[in-house]
Amino acid sequence: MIRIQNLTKLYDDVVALHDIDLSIREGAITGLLGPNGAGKTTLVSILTGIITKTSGQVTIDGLDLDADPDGIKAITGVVPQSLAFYPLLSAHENLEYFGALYGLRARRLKERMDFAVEVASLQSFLHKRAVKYSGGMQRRLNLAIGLLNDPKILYLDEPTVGVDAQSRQYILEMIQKINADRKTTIIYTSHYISEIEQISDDVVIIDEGNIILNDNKENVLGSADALTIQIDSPGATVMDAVRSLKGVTCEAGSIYIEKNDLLYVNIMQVLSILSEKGIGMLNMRYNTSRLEELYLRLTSKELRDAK
Amino acid sequence: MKLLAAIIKKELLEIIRDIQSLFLLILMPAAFILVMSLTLQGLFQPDSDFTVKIIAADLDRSPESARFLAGLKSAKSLSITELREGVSSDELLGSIKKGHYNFGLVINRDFSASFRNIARAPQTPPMDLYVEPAIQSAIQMGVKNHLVMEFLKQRTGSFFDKNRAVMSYAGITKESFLLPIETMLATRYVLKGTRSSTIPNAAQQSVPAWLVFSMYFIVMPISLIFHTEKNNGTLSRMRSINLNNRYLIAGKLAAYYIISMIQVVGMLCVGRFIVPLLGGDTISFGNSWAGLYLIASSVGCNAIAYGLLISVASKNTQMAGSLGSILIIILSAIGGIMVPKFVMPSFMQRLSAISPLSWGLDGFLDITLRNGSIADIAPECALLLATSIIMLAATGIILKKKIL
Repeated sequence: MIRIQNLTKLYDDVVALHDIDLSIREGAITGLLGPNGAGKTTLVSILTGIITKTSGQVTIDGLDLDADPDGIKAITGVVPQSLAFYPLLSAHENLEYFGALYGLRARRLKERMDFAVEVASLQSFLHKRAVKYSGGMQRRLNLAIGLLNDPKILYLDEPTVGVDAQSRQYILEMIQKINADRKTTIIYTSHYISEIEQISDDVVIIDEGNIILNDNKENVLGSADALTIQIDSPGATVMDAVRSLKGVTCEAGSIYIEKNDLLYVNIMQVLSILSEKGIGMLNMRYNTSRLEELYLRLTSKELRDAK
Repeated sequence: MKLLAAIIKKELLEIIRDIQSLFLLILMPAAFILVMSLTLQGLFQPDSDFTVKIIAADLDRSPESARFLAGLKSAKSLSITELREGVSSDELLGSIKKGHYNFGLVINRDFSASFRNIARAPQTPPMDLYVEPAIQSAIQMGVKNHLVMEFLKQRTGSFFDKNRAVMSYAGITKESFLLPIETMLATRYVLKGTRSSTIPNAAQQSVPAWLVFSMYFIVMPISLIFHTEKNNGTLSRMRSINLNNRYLIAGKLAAYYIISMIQVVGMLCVGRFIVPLLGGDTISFGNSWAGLYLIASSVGCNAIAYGLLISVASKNTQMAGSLGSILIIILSAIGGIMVPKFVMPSFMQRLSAISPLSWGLDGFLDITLRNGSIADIAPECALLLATSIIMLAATGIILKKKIL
């Protein structure tokens, strides 16, 4: 679907992307990870035609980025990290405006707006000004606008920043549903590694302008060495209680129990805590070394923006 | 066309729902015109209520000095307060320093001697005038002229009285000898149109300048437009869509043009209907509605194009805000908005030719004050529109190349 060869981007003398080669599968959700300043935003900005590359070749859905940038833009949806809509306009007005910019007219515009509103679950607040929406609703509107042109490729840059657990889960499920129903190729950037772990098929890790890992998630995570329990409402008290157990860690709705001598004791204790607090489990599975550990191992644990 | 309509609709909705911007764009200029029209009224109107306060000390205490002071007191624009006999001149200076009076007039002891001995010029000035330094030089000049005219009138009258027999023998009456000032000079205004020849009033003279200045207020919100869209990510989103920058610029231009025209109508209505209600003079729109619309449109387009250029050319919102407003103030000072061009030094007058505000002011004066037509304002409009096109083209080029 997306084929990148020898892609380089320079900002004056600073190398943002260094001779990158990368392929992204059609219909897959690809999680793009990297520390701050690694080159993720630059890569996505080039692929979406927001900025130009210095050198290299990019082909998207058989279209060359240099030869047919407009053709590529027509099949691309973008959901930026910032809330890229007009807060003084309602969801309806924002969707109508961006729909018009996409060249949608009359019945087609209405169809696409209806679809986006339904997916983002904004029906009840359609004519209210977006400035009055909750953080979760604003994120959903931001996503809905990116779906207006029925994109074949959807770029999502941290689409769950600043939302509560319920909204985050809703957005993640919505993305998976779009991918499943419409076979949309999704490139998903997030600092929440558990999200990438949850929804992506492939994982790309980028650091200092280089691709340091690009593989199928299952291959990346390797053989099972931990048990993951996903819960439905991760409150602070539950997380603190779970964290106090040796060999147990947790992050954003997921509890990880290391495969060691204490595994079964820890499982019982975690289940006991969840039961005591009335917390439901979404699923429990053996997997894998955690992606976060792998990510930190590959990119090192040093602060990048303090260098 | 539908794309352009969608952009215009979006821009208008944003402006209308942003109360602060709306206040800045429409109410503030109208309020500004109201205040400036009423404030400057006295300066421009010959029969206004504007008076200069003078405290006078008569050290001569002669019939001549008494007549002189009585003559001054009869002038409508002067308010004369006489110090009691024996009060020192320090009190006179003290009153001026405290701001109670604009001028202090001391009639010296040999004042009447200059009347009695016409054959010899006075050795020392018969009067001293003390001036509060903040008084504008034009007003100082007016007061000095008034004092000298009154002095000469009294002195000439005194000469006539002393030589009444000779004058009478020659058939000269005192009335014909002392020609009233107002009969010496007839003032005629040179108009470009012919239908009206009314004397321009305070509002007509001051409103066009402040109207042009206020129209450029629109630069302030516009200069932030692209930075706001960059910061909230909508500019990136629009770049990721197949949207031509020309539509983006044209949409903003059209939306703000509508706002600019509402702004002008608001300001003209204030000048026409509100200012008279508060005791000021109504303004005239001239005889050419088409001309008025054309010059207002040209100034509006120029202000918007300038704001858009500042928005893409500046690095951040702080720079855009400062650059937008400071340059407008400089261009208005150069362009004769704050000080009339004819009182400027010659090199500054030549410099004023580069200010779009000067072109706009000339155009508005041609229509509202000189009763001109479209033909009279064509050069100004052409300049304003040509520079607007250049600025819009530059905006498009920068927007395409620059990563804001």
